[in-house]
Amino acid sequence: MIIYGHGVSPFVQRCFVVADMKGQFDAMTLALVPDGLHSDAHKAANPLGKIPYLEMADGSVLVESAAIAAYLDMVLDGPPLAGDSAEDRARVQMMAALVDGYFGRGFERLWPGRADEETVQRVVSDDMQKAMDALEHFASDTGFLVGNALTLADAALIPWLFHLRVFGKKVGLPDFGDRPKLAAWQANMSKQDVAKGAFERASTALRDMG
Amino acid sequence: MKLYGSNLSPFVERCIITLDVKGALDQVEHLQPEGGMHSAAHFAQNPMGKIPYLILDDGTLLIESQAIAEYFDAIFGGPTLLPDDPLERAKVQMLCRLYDTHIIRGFAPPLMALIWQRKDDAAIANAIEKDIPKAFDDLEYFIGDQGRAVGDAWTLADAALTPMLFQLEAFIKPFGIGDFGDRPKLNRWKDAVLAADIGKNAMQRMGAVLEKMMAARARAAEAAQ
Ligand SMILES: N[C@@H](CCC(=O)N[C@@H](CS)C(=O)NCC(=O)O)C(=O)O
Ligand SMILES: N[C@@H](CCC(=O)N[C@@H](CS)C(=O)NCC(=O)O)C(=O)O
Repeated sequence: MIIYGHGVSPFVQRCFVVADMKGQFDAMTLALVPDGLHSDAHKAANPLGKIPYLEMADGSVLVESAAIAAYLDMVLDGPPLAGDSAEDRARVQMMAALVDGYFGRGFERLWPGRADEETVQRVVSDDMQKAMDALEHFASDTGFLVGNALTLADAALIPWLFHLRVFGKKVGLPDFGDRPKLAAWQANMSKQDVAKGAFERASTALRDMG
Repeated sequence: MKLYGSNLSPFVERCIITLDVKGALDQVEHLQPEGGMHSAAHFAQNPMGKIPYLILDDGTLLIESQAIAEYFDAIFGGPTLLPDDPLERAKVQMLCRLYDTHIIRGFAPPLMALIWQRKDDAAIANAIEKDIPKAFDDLEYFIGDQGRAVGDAWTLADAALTPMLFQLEAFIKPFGIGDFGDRPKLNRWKDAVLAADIGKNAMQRMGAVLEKMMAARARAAEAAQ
């Protein structure tokens, strides 16, 4: 399957983290958007002009990394990542929604060139604190976001570890701060191959951008 | 279990429509945050200060409408709103996300003005001229053409998108966009949803809350004079 996008994008990396968690990393190939971001070819395939997107055999296009991640979890062999019970599944989705809706949405404004200095400082001291508090409140204290194993919730947050280290650090937000559950999560992830792999791929992709 | 929040919230209504399709409206108690939105009691129940939130019988708190709707779909009988086929299922989840990321951001300025009484003319103009037409174009590309948002049976995508029909009529129309214009798939979907009881019930529930809100506002304005 071909995922269109770029290795620095946390939403693109999430798809590869899922494939990696399933033990199916090689089932996926990353391709740059034909003729570049926002080209006619890009808009014809995905009018949102976003990455990642997945072109399906029936000609349809899947967008939104959360939907792509859930799809890969269903079609690739390997351990199930969506949670076992109905309640666990709800927790996994809730955590992923908090990562997307609060953490990611805030962090996007910390990328270079996205916002003025004043906005950046406000996002760091308000929005991101609130986002991290929400994750801390609802996370498990097991070193995983939900339960005792890797899930789609971890796949949503893992790519952001690279962004904290590289872009967060520059604006005074290198990690999750004084939040015990998230600190335990980060410590656990630093030992997981899927997280190390994501970090390395993003580093390489950023270096290649020059 | 108890579900909290007003039907005027599209995220609350997504959960309610899900229950309605499953025939499970009477399985969940539907309440408003004690003391109103953002009261101390509301924050004590849900530290995010948002609606909807679901409190299970053992006290467990679940938030995020999509997580709650999928939870309802999993635990109650009746028709299932998530197709078994992985690709169909992914399309459903994708359309739900498109409401959450695109539609609601386009709709936000008019909603802020009419519901929360915070009016930003520049933001409204931008929404009407750019963001809403673009969001509709994007939705037109991704939505299905067999009567429902994906395929021909109710799914969570219909539950997520149906509140948009009420919002369009009540909140966007006063600023100049009252329908989907020349977008055939969206028009076909809208006609089919509004012809069905599930769609009519949703419009009726949201309309009743809006009417109550407007009446309370009118009374408050009168009292202030
Ligand atoms: N909600 C989307 C977000 C995708 C997204 O924002 N991708 C960025 C790259 S990190 C993008 O495509 N930016 C290009 C643009 O917005 O024009 C998802 O989860 O897939
Ligand atoms: N992503 C959330 C969005 C919930 C949301 O934004 N709810 C609004 C009402 S429509 C709210 O509670 N706003 C109050 C606030 O933001 O404090 C969900 O799907 O449940």
